[in-house]
Amino acid sequence: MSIVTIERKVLEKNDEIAKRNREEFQKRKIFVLNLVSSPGSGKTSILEKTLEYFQGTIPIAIIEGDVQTNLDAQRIAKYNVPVVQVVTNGLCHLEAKFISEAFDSLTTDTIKLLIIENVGNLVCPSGYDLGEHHKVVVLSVTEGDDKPLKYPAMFRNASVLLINKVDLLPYLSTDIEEIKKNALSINPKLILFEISCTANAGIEQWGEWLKTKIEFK
Amino acid sequence: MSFPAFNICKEILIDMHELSLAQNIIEMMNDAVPAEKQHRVKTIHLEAGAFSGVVPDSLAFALDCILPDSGFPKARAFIHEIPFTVYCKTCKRKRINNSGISICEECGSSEIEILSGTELILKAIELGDE
Repeated sequence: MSIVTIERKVLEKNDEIAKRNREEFQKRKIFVLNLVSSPGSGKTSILEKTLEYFQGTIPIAIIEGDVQTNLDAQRIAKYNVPVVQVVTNGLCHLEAKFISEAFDSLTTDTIKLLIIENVGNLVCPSGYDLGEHHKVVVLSVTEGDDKPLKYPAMFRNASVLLINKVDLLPYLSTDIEEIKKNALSINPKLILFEISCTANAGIEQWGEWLKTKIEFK
Repeated sequence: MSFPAFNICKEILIDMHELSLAQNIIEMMNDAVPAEKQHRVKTIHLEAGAFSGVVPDSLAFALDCILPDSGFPKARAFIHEIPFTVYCKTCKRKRINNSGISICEECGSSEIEILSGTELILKAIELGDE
């Protein structure tokens, strides 16, 4: 009998491609976000609000990830920005190699901000680095205040938390302070924004933060 | 209150997440073990952190499903679960945080370093005799 020691991360190949993606983004001075959340928390609405906020002042491109359909890409295409739809056909997350292919198919050299909308899932996308600068997790207040504790990997690996649909707080038993407390207990370094796409609240603060990051690049 | 439950979720999860991890593991084994020795692989040792986002049972099941048709038909996976361990820089002690929070459960400090519990590693492969 013999033992072969391997000692390698199972997601090593994905991490290598993610590293190459990051180097490419760095070289082209593109700031890249990976937007993650459970289905229906408002990722696409946030993209729409972000595009409305910048109104073409900064060249933005979007990569949409979905299990099926190109409905999200159709919504984004109305804003006249470069958009690619990745349909995973059942796979519950995006992987770095999909991003590398999708990025190659974007026909613009002048992008300053690339936002990747991941598949709606609070579990699986947490382990897959895509080469982004920040993982941005969206949690809508209708999902309840215990979600950061129930899905800690996602909140630990993210650096920004967008708390969405805050206009609904008066109708819910969700405590927003509890959301913040729970999220910060998992990841004390999280940057938090409270927003509502419907009421157009907090979008400016989010946009300003993005601006400083893009200018810094 | 009790009610009938059908665990259809497990199959769906395996179809998506753990199956893709299992495929990665087989690819890594293909890299590590020469083709002529692959049939001898008996045991695959994996380490999965308590907060790695991987369900050990599901990953073991996914591997059981695809190993028979791989180059490693006799292999069985052992998944060693690794606790979420942190080092508190304030009280200068190492401890296991079963809740997965990044705050020292003793002194409440958030000045902590995660030592283990988020990893998924292919550790080693055991080969039987000819």
